[in-house]
Amino acid sequence: MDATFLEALVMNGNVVKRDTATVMRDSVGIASHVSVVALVATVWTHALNGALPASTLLWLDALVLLLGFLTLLLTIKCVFSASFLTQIGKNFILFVSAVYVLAPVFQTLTRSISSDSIWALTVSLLIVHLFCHDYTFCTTSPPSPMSSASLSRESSSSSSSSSSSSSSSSSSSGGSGKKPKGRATTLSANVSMNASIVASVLIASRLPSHHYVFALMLFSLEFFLLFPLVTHCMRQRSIKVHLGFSCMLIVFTMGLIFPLSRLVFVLFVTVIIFITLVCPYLLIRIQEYKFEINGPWDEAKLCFDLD
Amino acid sequence: MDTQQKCQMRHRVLMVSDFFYPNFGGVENHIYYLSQCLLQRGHKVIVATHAYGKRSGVRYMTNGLKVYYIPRLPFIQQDVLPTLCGSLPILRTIFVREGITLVHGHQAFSTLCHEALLHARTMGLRVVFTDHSLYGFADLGSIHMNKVLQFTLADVHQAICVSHTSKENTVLRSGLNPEKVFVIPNAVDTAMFRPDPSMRPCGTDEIVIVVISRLVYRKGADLLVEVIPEVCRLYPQVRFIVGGDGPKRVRLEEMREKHGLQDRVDMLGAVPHAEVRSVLVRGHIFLNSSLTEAFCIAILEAASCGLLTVSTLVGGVPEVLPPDMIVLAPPVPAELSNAIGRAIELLPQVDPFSMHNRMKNLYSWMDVAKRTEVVYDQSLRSDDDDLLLRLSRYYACGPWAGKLFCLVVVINFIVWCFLEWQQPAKDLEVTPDLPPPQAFADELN
Repeated sequence: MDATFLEALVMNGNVVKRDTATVMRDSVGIASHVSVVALVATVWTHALNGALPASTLLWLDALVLLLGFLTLLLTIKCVFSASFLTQIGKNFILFVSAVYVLAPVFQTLTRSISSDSIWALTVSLLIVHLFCHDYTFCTTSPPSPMSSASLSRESSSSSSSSSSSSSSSSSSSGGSGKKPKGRATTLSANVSMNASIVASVLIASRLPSHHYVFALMLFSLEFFLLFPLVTHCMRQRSIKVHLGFSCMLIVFTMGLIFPLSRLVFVLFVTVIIFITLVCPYLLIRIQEYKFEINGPWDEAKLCFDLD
Repeated sequence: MDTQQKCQMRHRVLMVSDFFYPNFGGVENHIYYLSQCLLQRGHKVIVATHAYGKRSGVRYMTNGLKVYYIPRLPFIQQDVLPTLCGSLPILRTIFVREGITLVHGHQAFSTLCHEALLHARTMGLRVVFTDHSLYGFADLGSIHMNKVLQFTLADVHQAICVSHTSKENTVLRSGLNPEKVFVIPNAVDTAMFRPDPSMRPCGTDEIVIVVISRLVYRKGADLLVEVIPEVCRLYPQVRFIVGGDGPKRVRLEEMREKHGLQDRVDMLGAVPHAEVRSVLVRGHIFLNSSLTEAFCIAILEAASCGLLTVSTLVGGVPEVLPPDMIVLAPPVPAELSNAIGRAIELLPQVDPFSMHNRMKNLYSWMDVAKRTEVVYDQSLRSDDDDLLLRLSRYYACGPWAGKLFCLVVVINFIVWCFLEWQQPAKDLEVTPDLPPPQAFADELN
């Protein structure tokens, strides 16, 4: 055996050391998304129980939309122009009218299916949504600033994908996720988005009137499609604001769930603690076992774009 | 007395790999030439591979090289389905009938090779393994692959790698004791790859750069797409000949259209191995753009034809040729273009025939065979172990994998015992040996 054996071996050359604070801070982004889903599910439950009239829900929609839009105005990093605003307006009208026109269709969609199956399917779809969601969009800040057309594209995609909801609409929404970020979205991000939309349609279809369906669909879509955009912009503007907002959202959701069911409340709190405390701890713990080896035998990586 | 000693020293080798002719590539070439040279040195060599289409059963090649095409269907990239014990009956019959004492498996991707080595160990034969490629560590495929390799190499007597880089890679992947691993580089049939300057464009100062490789990502076809237009722009006297086919051919053709290089870049498509020389001798410089390479035989073939080589600095490539016969550059388009520029400057000092003669002294398959023979002798020296000792070696492979490996070995042993009971080895008919070509020649003399 010669002296140069394994001389060029590099161990853990590209490994990024993580510290607990950063990991915990980033995990709040995930926890906040989980609480968004819990929040929407709570509103669904109230609506199905008849505790939330359609008119209240519509007012709520308008309020959330307005607040979200204001936050966007305050945080987005691009120049506002008249054409951009009309673009947003046009897309907004398209989006709302598409949901309104389709509401009667949604209402009668699952009439022949029992409520149990719908709930089971919805819960599994929400779990799929949570597992496949593109959390990097709301936790990290990609280097390229948001393009001005992102909001409009996002909203137009939502209407198109809601219209073809139950069938596989990954192709229709596939392009939309890609363009705003300027990088390829994964298949799982699209699966996640479609799962959430199908879940919304399923729940909305159990409601008595099409006004009700319209209000609930609007509410769900606002949270599943537009809300990640708002948190992303907020995060880009200031991490502290995002952190504070996320914590507020989590506490608010806890407050909403508490009167509904003690068991679900405990479950939710456990999940949040698991995500924000246990997971970062485990990640830091297993970090020392990280073992990456590089050397002259590695396949060379091309330093240029293939396109 | 002398002849008797010779007979004792003779090895009875079975080469096993999924990759053999009519398939074509580095491994196939290696097995064929190594077998031929070992035959000439008086050993008995048999090759076992899986059936290729209608080519099934026993075939004879040059010098009476016997090839068993075992009737098994390849399912992916010429690999047979892994069956663990499924191939034991037929391989055992081959081992016994041919009186094999040493099994030499080739290539880590070959499932047949892994199975044959396991069976050979179960039956108490000597086992040698040659690894021909580099492999990663990080993705799911490599982790699985490396575990299989660890299983096989846990109990081989000796291993051979084709370059020092490949040895490091294999040792890291399999956790094998580096003392057990030998490095024996590939060789080239220099008689087949002779220079022929008359085939080069004469009367002009044109310089032809030859590229022969499969046009796939791993062979750096994307690098070619960047380098060729740049070199054509910098050096108006340069022409390219690109031989080979593959999924990236479209990109190269697009590049040719885009830069209007139709008259300067010749795309030949797939080049059969027999015609490689006729393409090589048309050029002055050989360009290898691989992104990973354990040992590049193509470079040897080019150098043997008297071409100056420009290559990417990856894997085992820097070990292949002395520094004055090759220009190396990192796999970056600008660096590679510069390297081609340097090669063009060096070109007047290069004499194809002196290069060919140097290659003749540096590389020959007979030399590879002699060195492999040393490895075979070495494998005889290690003592034959019983099942318990073998199991302890497998057990040390990992907390989960170790137990699993032991289970596989024990099952294999039980199946072997069953076969021994059902059809005892002494009842199997032994095939008569063909006289080795060297002995044949001696007798004539």
